[in-house]
Amino acid sequence: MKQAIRVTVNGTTGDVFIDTRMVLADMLREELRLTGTHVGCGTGSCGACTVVLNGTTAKSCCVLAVDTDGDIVETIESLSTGPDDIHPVQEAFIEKHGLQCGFCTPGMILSARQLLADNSVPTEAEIRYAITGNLCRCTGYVNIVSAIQAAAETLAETPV
Amino acid sequence: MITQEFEYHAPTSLDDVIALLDDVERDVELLAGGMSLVPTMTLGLAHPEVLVSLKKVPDLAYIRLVGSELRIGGTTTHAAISGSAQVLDHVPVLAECAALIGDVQVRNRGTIGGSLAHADPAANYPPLVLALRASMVIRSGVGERVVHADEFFKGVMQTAVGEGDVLAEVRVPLQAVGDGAAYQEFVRVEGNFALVNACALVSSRNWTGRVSLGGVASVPVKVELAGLIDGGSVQRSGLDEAVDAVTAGVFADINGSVEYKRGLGRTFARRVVDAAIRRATGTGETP
Repeated sequence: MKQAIRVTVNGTTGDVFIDTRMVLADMLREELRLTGTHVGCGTGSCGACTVVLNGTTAKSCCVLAVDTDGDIVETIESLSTGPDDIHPVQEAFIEKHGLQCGFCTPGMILSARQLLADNSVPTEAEIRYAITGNLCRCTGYVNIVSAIQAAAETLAETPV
Repeated sequence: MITQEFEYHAPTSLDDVIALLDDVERDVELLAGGMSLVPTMTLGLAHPEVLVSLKKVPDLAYIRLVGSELRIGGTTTHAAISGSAQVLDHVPVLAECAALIGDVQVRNRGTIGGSLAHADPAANYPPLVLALRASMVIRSGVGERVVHADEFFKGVMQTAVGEGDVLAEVRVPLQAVGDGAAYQEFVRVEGNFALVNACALVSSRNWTGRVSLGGVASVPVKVELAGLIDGGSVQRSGLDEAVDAVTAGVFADINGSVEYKRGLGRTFARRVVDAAIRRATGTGETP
């Protein structure tokens, strides 16, 4: 059955009429065409579906869309308006080759951004602990950690 | 994609939640953080007909110091618990335990009430609430009752929280001067459920206390430490025997054989008791 919810996504508030069975990840991708959020495992392990929900990261495959009434959602799309305007964390991932296929990357970047907002000088151990919920099958995490370290340095100089 | 249809409600008071839970005709489930329930629905393992979300119920997420207890609201997230100054000051082992649940995203949504009511045999809080002798406050249509951890766990994923119940609050006694507590777990991949986990609380005033283990039985099990600690040192063989007695019913599975799990039980019981003793005597690392 369908229900109406009012949700704010990337700064825009709107009413959505969706099936109660739909999870947030699918609502973002299919109803709102925001396909930067990816569905990997679909059951809360891999983190490819990570979004920012009411200010902190959450796995959107584990959130029912109907349960986001009144909530504020930010997806990876909110980090840049185009290739000439990208977030320092995204820049660092490019510079340090912190991705290969890119499937985990949106979730990884949002987790990295949350880490750096809470801890601007993370150790390597703290970085690895912070991305425990984002699985990457390509990189072996080495360049991801480098990218996050580089982003930390950049943001320390010029905070956004 | 969840295939089975269900009704969704987001009532704005606990009384309204309980009224919906009292529907005996249909299968009604509570939704808190959703980190266990939603994936099980996606996998087709749970098919509630009615889902009652706690999201709009006010004043169910809190951490309060009341007398000699820390009272934690049922929808308080693991993230809030692990980062709380109150918890770190008064019951630091609880913060350490919560910080090891899943990962950042899981902890941002998962709740202590949801986790305890779900009672996965490998979850983090069960051995902790048992070792710390916490109590769970359950609200239902007939009122409120307080269930001690010793009576809370009934079987695999079965607790004192029944069909019309809401786990509204967890009450954790504060650590006294001379107390030490530790939580440790054996996990192969960080963020996964532990194979075996253990929590110990020791008092250096009279060398009593308790160690409890998860993952070795259908419910968390406990060993009373009175008589097992000689002037600040635990009797290894005595502790091993006592642990063996409570892990006798462990079953083998894909994660390990009976011998392996019982070995982990003995090892982790020893480690957390040693760590708790060090903390109780001030010779351990500060949390």
